[in-house]
Amino acid sequence: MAYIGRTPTNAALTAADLADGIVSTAKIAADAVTDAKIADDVVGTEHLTANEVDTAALKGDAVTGAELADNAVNSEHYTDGSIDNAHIADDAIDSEHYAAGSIDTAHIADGQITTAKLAGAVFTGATDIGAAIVDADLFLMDDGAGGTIRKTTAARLKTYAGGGNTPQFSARSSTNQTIANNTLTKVVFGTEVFDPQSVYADNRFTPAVAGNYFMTTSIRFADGATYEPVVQVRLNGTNIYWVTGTITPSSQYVNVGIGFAITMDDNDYVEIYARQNSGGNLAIHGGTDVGTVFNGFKIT
Amino acid sequence: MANTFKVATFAAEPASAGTPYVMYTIAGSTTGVVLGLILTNIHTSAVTAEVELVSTTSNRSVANNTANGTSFLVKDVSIPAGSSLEILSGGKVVLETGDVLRIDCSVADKLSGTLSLMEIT
Repeated sequence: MAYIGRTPTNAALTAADLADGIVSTAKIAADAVTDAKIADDVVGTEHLTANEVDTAALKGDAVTGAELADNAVNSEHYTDGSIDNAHIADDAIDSEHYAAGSIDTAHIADGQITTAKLAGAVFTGATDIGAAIVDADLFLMDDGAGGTIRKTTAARLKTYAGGGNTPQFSARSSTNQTIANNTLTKVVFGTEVFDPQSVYADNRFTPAVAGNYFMTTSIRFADGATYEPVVQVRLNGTNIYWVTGTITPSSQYVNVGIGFAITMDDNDYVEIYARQNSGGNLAIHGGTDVGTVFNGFKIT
Repeated sequence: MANTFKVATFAAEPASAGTPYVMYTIAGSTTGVVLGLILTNIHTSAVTAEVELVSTTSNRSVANNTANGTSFLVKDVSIPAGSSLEILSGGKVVLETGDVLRIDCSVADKLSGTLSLMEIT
């Protein structure tokens, strides 16, 4: 037997020595086929074992939306806190996605809540009360103009507006008081007619609330020689009003009084003093019907 | 007794690798002497070839007195691309009536062959 042409040798086989389709898998060593031996784009899915492709075999950012089946990505594949605004479509979030009570004021833009968004039971101002205002009715107010809306009873409004004219007091002299000649003497109004806010004590009025006050006083002087009765109003111990009566003939009483309005701080106080110059002691009368009184109330 | 020289050729066989192609069958009352057989690889890469002698002659008065079988004259011999293999050169093979020469190749239609023989009738 002889060859004509090339004779088979023990030299390494070349591709030309191999017939088409004769190299079977048994002739290929394990792990012998490298990337370089695989043509581009020839490995089809039929050559991949099910569940064989792991993340190490995927290039970063290689999986695009086209490689994901519809509705395949569920919440277990989101990292906590990873969904940002850019990944939420406009108008996609509706109320079924809010937990009850989860929307706080930080998530409502200024000026966004209109009257139309309030339930009828909430204040809307759309319906007249249809009845007289009573003390228990509530009004809305901006507390201290600080932007905090609070409610207050109508009773408080009355107090604030002076509707009750409080604080208020009335006191009268219950017994005669001797006034020495030509000596300014503090008048004792020993009986409180009313003093609901306890603003009258020690024969002086201390309002405890700053404001404008109206007060009146009247003192009845006893009869005697011709003399000049004087009533003096003192604010914090200083004369502010000086009132004199008519020089009286003998055997007649005279009332000297004044009504006045002043502005007081909460701890200011007013006292009434009296003087006469009959030449000796003289009484100013006290009792239930003699008109030696001291009254006052808050105007505003 | 007449002697006749013959040649049998084929262009590209076998039709299917693994299914041997019948190249020659000895007619009745004829004895053949193979003078040479050349197999040519017409493929672009190496192929392997085999040549079978299928003999049905039986029960002749010889020592073992057994029927002939099928023998391989060559088997899985490699023929490089662009080359030919000359077998039975020098040695001779006798064929009896009914004997058949077949060839096979690792790749279909990639062997071309020339058989030279003398028939004695």
